[in-house]
Amino acid sequence: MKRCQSLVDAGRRQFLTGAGVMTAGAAAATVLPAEARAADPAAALVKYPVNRLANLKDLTANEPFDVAYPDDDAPGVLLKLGTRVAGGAGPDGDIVGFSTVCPHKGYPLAYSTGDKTLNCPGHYSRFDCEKGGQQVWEQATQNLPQYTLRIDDKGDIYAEGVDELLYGRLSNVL
Amino acid sequence: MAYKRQIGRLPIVPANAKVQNVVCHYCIVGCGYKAYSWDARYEGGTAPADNAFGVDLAEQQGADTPAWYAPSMYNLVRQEGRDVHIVIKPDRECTVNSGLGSVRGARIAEMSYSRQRNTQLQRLTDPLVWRYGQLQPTSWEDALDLVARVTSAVIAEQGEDGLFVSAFDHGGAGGGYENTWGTGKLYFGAMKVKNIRIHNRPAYNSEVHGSRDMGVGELNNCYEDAQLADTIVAVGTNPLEAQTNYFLNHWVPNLRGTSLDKKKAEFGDEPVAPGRIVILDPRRTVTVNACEIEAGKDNVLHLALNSGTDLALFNAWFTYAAEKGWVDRDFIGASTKDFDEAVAANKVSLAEAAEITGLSQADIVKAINWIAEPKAGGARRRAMFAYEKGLIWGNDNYRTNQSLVNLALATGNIGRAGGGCVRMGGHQEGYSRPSDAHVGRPAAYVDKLLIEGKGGVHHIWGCDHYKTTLNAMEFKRVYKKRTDMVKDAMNAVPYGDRPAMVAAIMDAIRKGGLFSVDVDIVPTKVGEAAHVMLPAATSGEMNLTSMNGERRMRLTERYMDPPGVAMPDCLIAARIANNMQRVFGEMGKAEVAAKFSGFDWKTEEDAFMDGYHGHEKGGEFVTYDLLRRMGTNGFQEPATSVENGRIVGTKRLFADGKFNKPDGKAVFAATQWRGLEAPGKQAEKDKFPFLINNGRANLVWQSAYLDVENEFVMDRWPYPFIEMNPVDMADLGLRQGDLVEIYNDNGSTQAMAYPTPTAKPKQAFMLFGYPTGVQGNVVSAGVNEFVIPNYKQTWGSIRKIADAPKSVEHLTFKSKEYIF
Repeated sequence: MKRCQSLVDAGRRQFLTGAGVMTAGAAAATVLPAEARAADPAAALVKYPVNRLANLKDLTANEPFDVAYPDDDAPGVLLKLGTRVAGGAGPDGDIVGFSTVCPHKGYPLAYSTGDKTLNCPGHYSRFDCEKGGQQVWEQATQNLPQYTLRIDDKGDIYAEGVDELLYGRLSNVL
Repeated sequence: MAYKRQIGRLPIVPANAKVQNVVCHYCIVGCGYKAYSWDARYEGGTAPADNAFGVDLAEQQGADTPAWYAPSMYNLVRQEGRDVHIVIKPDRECTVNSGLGSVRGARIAEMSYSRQRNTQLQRLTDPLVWRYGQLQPTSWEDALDLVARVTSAVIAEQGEDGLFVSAFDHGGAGGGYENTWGTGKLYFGAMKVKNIRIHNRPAYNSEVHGSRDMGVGELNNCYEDAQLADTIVAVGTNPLEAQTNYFLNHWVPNLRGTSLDKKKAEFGDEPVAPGRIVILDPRRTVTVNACEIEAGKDNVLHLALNSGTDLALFNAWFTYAAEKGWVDRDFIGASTKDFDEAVAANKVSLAEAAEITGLSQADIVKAINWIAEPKAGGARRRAMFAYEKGLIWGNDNYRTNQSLVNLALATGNIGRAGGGCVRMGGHQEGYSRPSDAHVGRPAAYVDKLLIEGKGGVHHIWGCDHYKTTLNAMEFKRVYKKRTDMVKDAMNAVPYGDRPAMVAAIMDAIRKGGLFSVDVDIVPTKVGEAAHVMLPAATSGEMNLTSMNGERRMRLTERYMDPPGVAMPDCLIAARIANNMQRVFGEMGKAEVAAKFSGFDWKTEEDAFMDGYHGHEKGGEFVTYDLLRRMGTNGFQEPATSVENGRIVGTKRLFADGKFNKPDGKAVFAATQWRGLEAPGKQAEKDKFPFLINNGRANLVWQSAYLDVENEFVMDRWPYPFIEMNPVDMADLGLRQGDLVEIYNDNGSTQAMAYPTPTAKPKQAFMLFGYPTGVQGNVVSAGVNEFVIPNYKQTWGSIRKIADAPKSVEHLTFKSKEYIF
């Protein structure tokens, strides 16, 4: 599995060089003093940070833009697909964001511009970026985690949540 | 949009969780898993001391980590009457899968019965009987009494031939040594039932008679041989989808060249190189794609031969190897007989083979060079031959199987490292039964007899003919009619009047009706016809033993309670026997009643000790206690001893050159080509334009009976796909996702068009055995001389039914092939 490990490393390097990453995790922290409550009730849902990932002008049609969400250890990608898709954000309804860690065994996915899929070199899983990350052919037991995106008046693209569990963590927000 | 679970967090397995051995119960490979369970009221923590993995779970874990599980590996279930969290995740210590989880096995937890999380609520919880016009719950006592009374009455009137049986013969879910013994002791011990068939075919027969008759048992190598072979020959098998982790964990390292150190250690000075592979399949599969990625196209030879012509190719290779002298003369002399006769009988020239198969002579020669040409220095080339349904359910099963074994024997590749001539398998195996010799050969064609109106009562164990038999449309039509006759008769009598009820049922049977008893874990399609349904437990709800494709035997421990009052099949069989003994006693047939003794088992372990431990080769060395200790690696059958508290097994069969014949010599077979052998196949081919090839898909392989209640799966495959060449689709006015009808003189069915540029024109490939479109509807009743079905060679026409329905609109129809 030496080859796969080097791919993982390659994937990490690629993600670390990605631009436009900005975290706002602190914004989610509570301000109540701990002693004010006997037992802090645990939240039923993960509290996702609202992170700016990029601006519309950073994106070029069908060119992957490396990001990370909800933190630096969770590589992902923003895509301006060039055609409107269900769940797409932005003025053209064609912007989507996905985790790029394969939910099967954690290998880094590579984008195929030819058919707009993310492909896993470990065990050949494929995910369709135009279909909400649906697995085309599969080893993973879930479709690809997709970001909930919001775009403000300035064209800044924010991620506000993820719709599946990310590989390698038992809470999407660590 | 694609289905998403919206799960962002899972409970953490605490350090004190109970850990049990699990072997995936879906496919033959039998990957090792571990079940972690703990009380529902708490969970572990992220600190290393607070979780079962001893790592900081507040950090991102890397690729291949054992410290992560997907939502599909988690559930809340009942265990000894308490609610517990359960996580069932792949076991890195298991040599079969080394921590890999398939898309099926990694859903074991999610596919468990959970009232807490509403999963698999389709499971049968109580015995059901036909009462007041529908199936209604009742007690075991009541249901078993009805079954015993009707079955005994039919036997008293028609003899044991009036009792028809359909029963699993395998391991894993819906089988296992405990349950094959339970049913086997009932039907072959207490009775001598002749009209019996196996879960996936219409008679009680081996799918590999051909190999066995030559003295060569079909599971004769070990998975490591796929790492050691110079060349793998894959015949009618698609292992990336149907034996996934065997392929990923043992074939791929050879193709990548990462098993070279293992080869050097095993073979010393013998020249070794990364593995090459020859793949016989009319269709380009994802297996071909993966092999090309790993080995490079130069080391992969995909022979897309004409459907059903494998035999001619094998004979040509055999002829060529014999002429070149690329055979193992010492082995042939010491361990076989009739080689020269076979060479004379099976002569096929390259030109003839090319004509029949549609392949080029150059490719035929290239393949045999890869298989048999001696290596530098004259060392014998090590070839492993692996085959499955493309051969088994293909044209002329018996001879084709034998012609492949001929080649493997001639090249000295059985019983040797890096060799083997093996079926790839479907389920795990788990066969332990009294002799079936009374069934005879050819065995009774049970489906045909049922269609002809024979039999009075039908016991079904874990089979669903409506989905997985041939000539299925006609079978369903007649079966429904015959069982409806009995239902109508039952509707006319008060349920509580047992003598009147039995009399009414018997009267309907005399008029051609059929009483149907279905033992299963879910309400199957054929269960729609049943008068009684008996709820069974599945793997993990009972202790269950099986062996995988390299004869590796393990125990899956009971990690949760069965739903409701469901019981292991072996105990259901025992309780049927107890009740039949009572009823025959009441009928004054003391001699018959006495035959139903020996069924006083209280647990599945009792059945195991009576069956496997007491009767199977090496069984005396095998107990639950020892198997528990041997974890997910178990041992390879047959067991030969126990040393230091561990069972000692057998890595390869026939390693001593002694085969399963009285004189120990394997026998070469005469296997002349005779065209499309099953009756009616050639005429069907001549009449209809499309080959309706058929087979399995990764997502639902051996799990579809539960997948129908799994959102993740049904979101992807609401209908069976039919892969079609885009030009053919255009000619028929089809767009992706359109529903089409496939039809011929046997029947009709439906599927969803999946454009596939690599599909050859007029060669479609349809998902087999799917509940929303049964491919078997269009498969003819034609079988080989031993009643082996011929599903693969089916021809039909295709026409559009409707535009893609709403449930299909969101689907992807992109190529299944990995792109790099």
